[in-house]
Amino acid sequence: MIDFVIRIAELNIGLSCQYDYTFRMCKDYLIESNDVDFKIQVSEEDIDEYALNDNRAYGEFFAIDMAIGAVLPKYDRCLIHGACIKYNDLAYLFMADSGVGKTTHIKLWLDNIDGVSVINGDKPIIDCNGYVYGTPWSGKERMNNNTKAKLAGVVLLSRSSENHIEEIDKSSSIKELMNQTYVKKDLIKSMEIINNALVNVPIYKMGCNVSKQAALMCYKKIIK
Amino acid sequence: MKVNKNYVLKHLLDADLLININDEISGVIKLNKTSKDIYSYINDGLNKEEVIEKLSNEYDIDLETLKKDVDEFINEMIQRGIFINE
Repeated sequence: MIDFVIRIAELNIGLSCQYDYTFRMCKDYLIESNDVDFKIQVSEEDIDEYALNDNRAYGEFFAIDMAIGAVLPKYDRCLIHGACIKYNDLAYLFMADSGVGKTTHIKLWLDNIDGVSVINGDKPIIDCNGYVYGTPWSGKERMNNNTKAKLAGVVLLSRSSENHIEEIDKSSSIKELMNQTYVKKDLIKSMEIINNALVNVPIYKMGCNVSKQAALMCYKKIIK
Repeated sequence: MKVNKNYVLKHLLDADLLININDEISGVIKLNKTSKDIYSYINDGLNKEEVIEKLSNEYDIDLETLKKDVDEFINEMIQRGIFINE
């Protein structure tokens, strides 16, 4: 077993791993400390459940994220599914089901707008005060930075040949928001965390294609 | 009639929501203002007639429409297992 401590979302998490893949993926988040908020060690069954093409090292890495996600609500945080960028020290979160094009869209921001950086491309953590944190779990593109920023906008993204974006009521986006929040248990607590995180945060619905114009339209609408 | 204690009413994300404490996101139900009032009155122990009387004092709506709305909502809640006939 490889034992080490990572610090994500301002929590010290002790990990015990069979494979060094997780250790390598977590290198930007390692800390020297014996003082941990909680420890995670996943079972053989968990590893098998998440192993992709019999890649058990990847299975362990993924299973650890799911196990962390299950614990986070106790610490007023939620694991979410989305691509998050940072601009002027504020976080902007793009949410959609897998395969819709979150990563593709944030790449358009990175390529066409100065001053944009990535917080996390796939699975950031959000806390009840609306801070979004980078994590080592960031999808196949591995776009992540060990950083945080206060959330200033959420964009629910879908594909469309015509680019359009509108601000929508929070109450009409509940299903989309909660579908992209990792909830194993503690549903009510998780919804309270998301509710608190999104106080004064506008929600937008965007249909977009893959073009520079899509990113610029979104930028003009959501950056105040 | 009583309410299923597996559901709680919460105001979150600018909406009145009935949330299943057994952690099923599909079990989250968004209530409009009238539905929320009906749910709250039933939860307080009022019967259907008392709910209709209360609402007829609060809302400017004709009695027949109100009765129909209350009936529809209560039937839906019974079907979902959220209201239970005693």
